[in-house]
Amino acid sequence: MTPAPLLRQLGRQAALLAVSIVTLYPVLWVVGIALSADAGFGAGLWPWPEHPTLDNFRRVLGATDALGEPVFARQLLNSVVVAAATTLVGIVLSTTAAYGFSRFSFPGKEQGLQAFLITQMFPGVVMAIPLYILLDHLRLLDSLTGLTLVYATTAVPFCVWMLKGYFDTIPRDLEEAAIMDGASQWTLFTRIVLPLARPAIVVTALFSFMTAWNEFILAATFLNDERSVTLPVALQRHVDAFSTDWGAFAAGAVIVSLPVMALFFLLQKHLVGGLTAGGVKG
Amino acid sequence: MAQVRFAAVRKSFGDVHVVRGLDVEVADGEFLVVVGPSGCGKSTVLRLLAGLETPSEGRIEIGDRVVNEVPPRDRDVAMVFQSYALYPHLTVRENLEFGLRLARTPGDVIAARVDEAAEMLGLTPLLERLPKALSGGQRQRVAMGRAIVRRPSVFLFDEPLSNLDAALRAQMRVELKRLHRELATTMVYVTHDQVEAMTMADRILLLNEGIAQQIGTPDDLYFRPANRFVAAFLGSPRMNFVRAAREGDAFVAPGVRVATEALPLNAAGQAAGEVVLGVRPHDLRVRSGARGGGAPEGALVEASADAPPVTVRATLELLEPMGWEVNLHVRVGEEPFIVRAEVRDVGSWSPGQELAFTAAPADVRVFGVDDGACLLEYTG
Repeated sequence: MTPAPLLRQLGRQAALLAVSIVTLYPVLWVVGIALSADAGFGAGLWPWPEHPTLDNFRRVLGATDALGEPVFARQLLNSVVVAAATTLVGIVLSTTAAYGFSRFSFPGKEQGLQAFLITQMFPGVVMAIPLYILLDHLRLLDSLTGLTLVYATTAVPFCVWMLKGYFDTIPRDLEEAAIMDGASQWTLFTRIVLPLARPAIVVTALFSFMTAWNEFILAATFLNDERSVTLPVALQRHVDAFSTDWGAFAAGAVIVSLPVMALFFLLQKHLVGGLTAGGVKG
Repeated sequence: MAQVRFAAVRKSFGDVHVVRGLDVEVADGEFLVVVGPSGCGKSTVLRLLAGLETPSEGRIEIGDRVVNEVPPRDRDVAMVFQSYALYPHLTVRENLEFGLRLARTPGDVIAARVDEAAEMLGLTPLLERLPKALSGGQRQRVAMGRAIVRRPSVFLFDEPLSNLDAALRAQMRVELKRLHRELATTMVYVTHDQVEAMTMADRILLLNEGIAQQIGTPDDLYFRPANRFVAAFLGSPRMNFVRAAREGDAFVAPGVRVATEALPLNAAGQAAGEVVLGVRPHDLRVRSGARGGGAPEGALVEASADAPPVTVRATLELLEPMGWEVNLHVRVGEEPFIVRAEVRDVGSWSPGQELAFTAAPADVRVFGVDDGACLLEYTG
């Protein structure tokens, strides 16, 4: 290797290393705090504790409510239920809607798509108060159903756009071939279009799941009861005006991240497939 | 087994009139090729027959049924698409089975038909593969197999060979023809390729701008074109045309003289003062005496007593050697002509040379100046 390419290679590696450190350092901090016995802010540049301990994890997992019953499992279940239900509702509604927007022409098609886009322009906080009033009227405050509904309404527009873009790339010939083969509209949707759109569906499902799993502001607004909150809200309650248990907070953060990481590992093959989806030809 | 009939069929998309009054009948077991330049409406004709489009006006019949309102799956037709349209996530076998499964055909019947079609098309070793692991020709065959297993009463082909290379296309042409003979089923085949039309068709329907220009056997269209468009569309290199005026007993244009008495003109032709003359490149022959050395200028195109009924004088511009034959690009008056000559005639000719040609009067076509209609009375 001549010196110039070698230098360029070294420079590239150094830059990538720097970016990796910048990205991972805060994560390492959180893990470090989660494993340290004290609150952890005394730590130096190297965030790893001298005497790692799992006490913080034990405290988070063993937390009890006012009646002395354990709440972590309950909150975890809340999060899983809300995220899974949001994903399910989001995928069912958005695949069918996106297919309609992609393939059929009907009055209001363009306006409908644009309306979906507009809903994406407002930050969640802006909608918190109107949504609170709506849920109050529907008696869905402090309920996972209400939260799922709210999450689904924010996830569906994005998923519809995403999936419509993908459906547009599926050649119409394939559908016409299926029609000639005797397929009904529903058959060709379920047996031809959906299998072909799998990469895109996986990506949108992952997006829906993560949105619901990580969301904090709306959950904190609509849920009060300690037994009905989701994990991000529970996490925040370790740090309030009167006490700051950073160790428990960090341990909780690590626990909350694990399922999402696992999902990414499981689905990364499809994720890449989804991102390069346009390149696949029928 | 079914005949097909279009009666006064029109199809418009908004203000665009794609098919403008089509009347054609396809006999049971016939191979009809619909041919025409791109945008002529030929694919729309096929899609109308398939049921993927509904006619704006008129009647489409398959067998004894009017099918205007019948959905594709109930028409008993199968279609082969230009893009093949194989289901990418299904194996070859599953692709072939798809239609039969939807029709709830018994499993043993499905297996038997798939095996039979695979055998017929040489797909047996490929049945468990996905379409992406097939070559273009193999995909094409799967697309045909998918139609065959359905045992439809009409096959529809939408430019099925246009994505194949030349050698494979020639091979598939033969296979398709063989298939037609074996199945003896009505086939409607759309193409823009005149070679496919000429070689495969029992009859050809030539479309232009949504209007049938001529319907007939390949020989009909080639030797007895109904109008100038048909004459120009079929044949490669295409027919030469020149506008000529009647002068006494001949049609005359700069460099061209054709005696009228040698032409079987119809009534309109007899009356016409101005016409368009057409002659195919290989029908022009180098005049005897001119062979190898070129012709002395002038005398050959005079209306002298011993001159042949058809004379063409031209200036050689370019030679295109093609082995045994040579395409001569010449100029006749202002008109560019192509003459296909044999190498031994050409000798040492070079651009700029004056040449003289003749043609048999029976090889000259005469068309109207305005409508392009043929002005000859064809016999035999």
